[in-house]
Amino acid sequence: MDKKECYRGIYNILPLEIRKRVQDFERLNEIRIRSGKPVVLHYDNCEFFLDNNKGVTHDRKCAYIVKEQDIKQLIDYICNYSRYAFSEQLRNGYLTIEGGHRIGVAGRVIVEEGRVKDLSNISFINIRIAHQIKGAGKKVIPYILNGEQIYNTLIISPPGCGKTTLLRDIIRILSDGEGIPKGYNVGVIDERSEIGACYKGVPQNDLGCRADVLDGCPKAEGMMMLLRSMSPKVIAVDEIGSGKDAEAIEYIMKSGTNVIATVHGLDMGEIRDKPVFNRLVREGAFKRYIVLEGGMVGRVSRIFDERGSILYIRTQREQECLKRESHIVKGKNVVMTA
Amino acid sequence: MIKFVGVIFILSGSFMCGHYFADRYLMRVYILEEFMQALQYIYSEIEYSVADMSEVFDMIAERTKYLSEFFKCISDSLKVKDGSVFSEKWKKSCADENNLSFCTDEDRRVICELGGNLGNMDKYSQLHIIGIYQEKILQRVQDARREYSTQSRVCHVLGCTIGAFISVLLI
Repeated sequence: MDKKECYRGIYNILPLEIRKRVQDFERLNEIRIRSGKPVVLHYDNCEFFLDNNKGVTHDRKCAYIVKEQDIKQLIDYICNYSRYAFSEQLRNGYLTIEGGHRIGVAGRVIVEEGRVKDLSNISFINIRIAHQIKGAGKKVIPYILNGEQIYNTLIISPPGCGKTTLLRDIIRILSDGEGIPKGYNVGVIDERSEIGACYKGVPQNDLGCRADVLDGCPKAEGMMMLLRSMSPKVIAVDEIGSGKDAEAIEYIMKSGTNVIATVHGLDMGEIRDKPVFNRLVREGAFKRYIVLEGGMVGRVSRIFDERGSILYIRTQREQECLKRESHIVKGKNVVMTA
Repeated sequence: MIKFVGVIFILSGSFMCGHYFADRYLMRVYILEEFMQALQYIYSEIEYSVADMSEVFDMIAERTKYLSEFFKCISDSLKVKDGSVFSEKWKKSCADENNLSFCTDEDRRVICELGGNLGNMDKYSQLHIIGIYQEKILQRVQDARREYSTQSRVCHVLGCTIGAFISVLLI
């Protein structure tokens, strides 16, 4: 998908009044639309208001104020005039549109028998523009591949540090066989549509030519389904956390299929202390642990093997160098380097 | 001999006129029946594949004869994000559709009204609403059939009678 096509998804869903005022889609990271409030745009991680005339401004008085009509139009466009088709996703508070962009919504929640039934009077919308970072996983590939053998790998990082981005690129590289001896069939369980960002079943992010995606499927069930139906060489799964997930992973590893997973955490020790993963770590189920640096998006800080021996550690000098680099390319600080 | 041929022509012409008017009643039946099938199709597509309106209308456009243009027109208009709401697009398509001119004002009102109730609710409510309109359209179909069976006879008889009357006048 080229850039123009990618941004068309965003352009098409914006209400007319907002659409004609936004000028630059390419550097756009996020659009926040709140009823009766100014439209907030994030360009290169800097915040602006949408100007009432055109472009952006820092002056709130000159900002375009969102009308109720704009929200209605936006919902119509997001749902393609078919609210029923997206009610399940709306209930979860987010949906994915063409181009892989993620829309978060908030409003009045309708609860029935203690469960969220639907969302009505949607008044807050957050549009996050997808930017796939190709090459993010290139430098970790030598650590998770040994000839043709793939190591079971766990990517550990706090939220918002680039776990999913790294996993997505690892999937793409393994699936395409980019820079490695051959490509592998990769099964992807994408419970929250974050890896593939599927729209109508088609991944909007490039996951390579040998990736099969189970979109919106609970992780534990999805892993078993993929194992039986698609016989993948590797199964990739994002944000594992429950006992069921751990059981499914164990079963899959015993079936001869490799697993690459991500988990919230600070370091290997923290994961070892979690009761759910304790046994997996102790038994050396995962052969590689990739730890991402907290507070720095997408920076690999350490790579461990199953015994906890450090295979890679970012040097102080390297860190300083990267910090300097990130100041220079401010806004493009999502640099995945091992 | 010429008179005889002339009478035959006049009689057959007037009968055809009567038939033409009777056909308009039959067209109403066909169109409403087709609309009924379309509603059933929309119902099943929403229930089983949760397809969006534009996709469903595209599929219906391919499968229908009289309402093909109508559904194609709505589907195309849904792809254009021009700020108008679904019901406006539906109403416009209703107004532009020539075949709906065979229907009565009441038929058109029911069909237009449906547009205001599509696409803006959850699955369960949407199916429920479609069910209600299926009932309404079914009533319109029954009414159209009744009207056709009485009116077609009237039209044919009237056509022949006028033909005979003109023939007598000319002779």
